[in-house]
Amino acid sequence: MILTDREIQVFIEHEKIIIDPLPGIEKYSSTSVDLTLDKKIKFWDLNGAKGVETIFCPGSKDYKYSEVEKAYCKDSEIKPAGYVLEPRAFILAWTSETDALPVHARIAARIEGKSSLARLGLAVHITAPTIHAGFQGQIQLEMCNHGPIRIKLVRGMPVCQLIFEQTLGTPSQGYTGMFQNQIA
Amino acid sequence: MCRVKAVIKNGPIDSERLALINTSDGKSVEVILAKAQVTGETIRAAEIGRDAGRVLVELPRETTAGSWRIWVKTAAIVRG
Repeated sequence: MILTDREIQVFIEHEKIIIDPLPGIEKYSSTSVDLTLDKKIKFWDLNGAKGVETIFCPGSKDYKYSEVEKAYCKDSEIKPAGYVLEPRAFILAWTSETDALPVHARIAARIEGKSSLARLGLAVHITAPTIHAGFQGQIQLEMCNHGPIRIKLVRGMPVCQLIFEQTLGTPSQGYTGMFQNQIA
Repeated sequence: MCRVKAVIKNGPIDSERLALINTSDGKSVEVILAKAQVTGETIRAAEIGRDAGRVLVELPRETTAGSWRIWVKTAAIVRG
């Protein structure tokens, strides 16, 4: 079941949902809470030697994301004046807020876009919206401008919404009952 | 909850770390974590099960290769 704004606030009060800094009341809708855009961003830069084809193979046993990132992913930040995301451009970004879902709290969440940005063509995740029970940290956003117009991103802007769902039980990693450590 | 030994490096952003963990079959997997999930050269994990000389742990986040649960040697587990 999806938590309403009142339940989200109760869960925050009981530290079963942690959002730091705490969102103001204006950040809530009836079933979600908005998160904002951090200034840190990264983008892929494959401009290597001409005529050299670059192919990543995540399925390879030797694949190391950290090495690929080091070689091809550049650090940047959203300046106070903003950052223009060109049509078809893709960046990695993060929420300003740090979130935590204690595993015993029986809460998972989904990050979703906002209709106000979606109608411009802006996506904030690429098929990986789930914030699993036990998550802690800033949420990474995979932002892509699918639309035809240039979109200026501003640090601190409401960029996505978090929708919380109650899990049916406690996941194994937070479970302390008689079936703990049982392997089928 | 338990902790698993890892080699810790800088992560993609300041609030994150990259942890390299050795699996029981000798491979190295990497996972990007919040700084708060790292203590010294260990990371927080949950013990899911045990087998001869090895422990199945669930990591706080998915590895960069796509797994949540990995087998590690028993000696890689740190209690507390």
